[in-house]
Amino acid sequence: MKTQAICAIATPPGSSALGIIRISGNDLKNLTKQIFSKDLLNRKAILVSILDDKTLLDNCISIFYETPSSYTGEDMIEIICHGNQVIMNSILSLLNKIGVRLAKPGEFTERALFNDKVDLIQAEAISDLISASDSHAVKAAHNSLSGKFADEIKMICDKILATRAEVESVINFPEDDDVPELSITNIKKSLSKILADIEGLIKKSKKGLALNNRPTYAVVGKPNSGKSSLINSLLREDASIVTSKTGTTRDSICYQLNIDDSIINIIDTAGIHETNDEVEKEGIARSALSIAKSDRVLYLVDDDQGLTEEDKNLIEKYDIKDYFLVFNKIDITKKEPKITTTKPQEIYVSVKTGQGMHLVEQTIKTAFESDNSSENIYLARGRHIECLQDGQKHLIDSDKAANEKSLDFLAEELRLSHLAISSILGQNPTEELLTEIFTSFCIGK
Amino acid sequence: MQNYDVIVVGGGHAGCEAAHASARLGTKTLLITMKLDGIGQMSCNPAVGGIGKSHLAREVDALDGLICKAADQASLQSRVLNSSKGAAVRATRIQTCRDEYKKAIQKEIMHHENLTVLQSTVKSIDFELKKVKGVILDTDEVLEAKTIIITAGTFLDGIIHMGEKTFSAGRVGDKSSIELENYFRDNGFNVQRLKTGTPPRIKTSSIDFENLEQQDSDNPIPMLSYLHDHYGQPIDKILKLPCFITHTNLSTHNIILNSKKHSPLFNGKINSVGPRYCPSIEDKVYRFSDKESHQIFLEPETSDNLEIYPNGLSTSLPLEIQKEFLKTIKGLEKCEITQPGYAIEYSYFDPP
Repeated sequence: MKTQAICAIATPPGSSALGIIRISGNDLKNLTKQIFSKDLLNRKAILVSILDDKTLLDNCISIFYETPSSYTGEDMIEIICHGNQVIMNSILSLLNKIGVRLAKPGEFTERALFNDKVDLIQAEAISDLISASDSHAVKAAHNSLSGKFADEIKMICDKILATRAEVESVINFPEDDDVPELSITNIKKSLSKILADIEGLIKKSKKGLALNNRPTYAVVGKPNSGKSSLINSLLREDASIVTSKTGTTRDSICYQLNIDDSIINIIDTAGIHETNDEVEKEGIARSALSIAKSDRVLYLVDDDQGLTEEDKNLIEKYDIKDYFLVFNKIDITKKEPKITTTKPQEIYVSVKTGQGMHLVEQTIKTAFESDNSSENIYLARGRHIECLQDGQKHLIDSDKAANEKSLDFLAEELRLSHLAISSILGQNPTEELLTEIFTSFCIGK
Repeated sequence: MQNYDVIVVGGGHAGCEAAHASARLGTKTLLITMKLDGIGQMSCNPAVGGIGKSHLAREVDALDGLICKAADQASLQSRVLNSSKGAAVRATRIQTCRDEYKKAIQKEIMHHENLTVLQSTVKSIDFELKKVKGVILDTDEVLEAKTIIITAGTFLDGIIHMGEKTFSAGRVGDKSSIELENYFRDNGFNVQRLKTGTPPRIKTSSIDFENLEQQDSDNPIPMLSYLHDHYGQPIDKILKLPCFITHTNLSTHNIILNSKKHSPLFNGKINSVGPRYCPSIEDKVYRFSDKESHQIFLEPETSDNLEIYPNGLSTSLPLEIQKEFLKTIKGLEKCEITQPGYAIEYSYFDPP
């Protein structure tokens, strides 16, 4: 492919010891000859000066990657210069002057895709890897990147293809005595096998989807049970708030909690109780919403009062299913911190003294890990799930068509199913799809 | 120097439809062909429609094109395929009389307003600043046009292979277009080679149809065109001729297997690829060696039914071997070849 050379700063903006500028294009050695003080060597880091006419811009390490053994598959150069924005910008202007233009978002990976260095799923996984902010998401992104997810999709596509081939050949070669009679029973058998495969994959991928959208735990309880203090304690203990942002509601606030590199959303909710106060009522309604959208609940109880009928009613009324009971204020009731193995698990703590808080953290972490433990989960994107479901729907329709022995509808539904699922691999990708995918990348990658 | 809006080079299916469509739009059009009588000539199987192409033919028909109307007029045997399989996959196919078909096409092409026909050979394209300006004939005459349409079929540097023999031809009996091919090759077009083939033709009176399966037209006789009342031709006037079905057998296959070194497709003489849907008999026998038999349709070529097209026997083996293996096939024991089968290699290029 004949393309214009592109360049971009690969490191984050701001000052740092080093900054990296990447260039990709055809025949880069010739194109950039005039700006380097020496010839670059393939896959060797060498010290060169970058010269604008005769003015020295910077002394840097430059590495040349000869096509096709590079990230994009084209010639590539990495310039490791001093991490000063002024220096890097002047190098970019110099590159522009010799015909290297600034890369559009995601353009390096787009070129890698066009040059068959990565497939579409891998390209998406690269984007996810860049934006992944905890170790589990990184692992899942690597699962997708390594092509395991693509392999499963390919396997399903192959099975659909085989079934299609059977049906299509009967339709396309009606006069050929070489084509065996179509057995509707066999077709239906194959369809049900493929449907089971798709269902299994959707399940595994959904987990990955949840992983990409961080797990959310809500802290719920009656007023003054110590919810906000618990959250403050968790956040302060760790001193690792990534960001905190006020939720859409006035009373439910969502924080990001980092426990040993596992990042979860934790929601502080308004205390729930019977009230006639309009503002409080609204806050409680929002608490209910937070409960509904959370994956798990930490239900806080004042140990001095114990688990009351009111608490039990609240748990039932708000349909709280996956929860831990946290008994607070053991400093008053003079109990030892502990965690039970009952269902639901009970944790005895004092937020005030910090007793037992490590048990809360541990429980959150264990729950998080069990949610995400499977090695086989995929960091599937919403698009992947939609395509799988679309393919599933068309397969169900092909089964109906098979029942009615209408071969034309059978063939067409199979085709639509195949199209839907193979589009996950970027086969038949449309320009819109690519634009959408590549603009979600950070610049230059 | 003469000026046209559109010049079409080539007078086959594509060229005729292009020239006629252009003229219908009121555009001043010229069709250039190397042989006037070759306009509308069907090089290979004289069939129109079928599973792979009836939708295409009917789309052309919906645009008031020629192919369906001419095929209806020349119909010998006409069937709807997949009639039991759902409306969306049914396909009409007509075995036509190749002479009648050509006559119907020529009548339209030769007598249409805005459409001029010229027998000549184009040797190159005249460009001005990357914009097409006209064509240059082998007489060095320049004909100007805003648009040039090349519909060369198998004629660009066509080379026929028949066993060890090779010769230059656009199809058997016609010259190929070499200068134009060289022009494209030398002027930046990405020229590649394709191959296709055709079976030997057999004298009808030399075939014993007695014990062969007969395949008649459907009743009522299906038509391809939706637009015309078949030129006022009453349906019962359409000539009905049956096709027959026979099969190759192990003796046929043995002869073909033993002649592999004589087949230009397999001895390295032909390297270009052919269409997947019409494999040669050599291809079928070599690649599916476990099959004991292949189906052959014996199709009439013309309304006077002098020649038979044995569909499924496309071959480039030497004539002697063609004769030998044909005689092993039921009904063809005493057959006489009227035109040998051959493979043809030709050049093509993607539009710029």
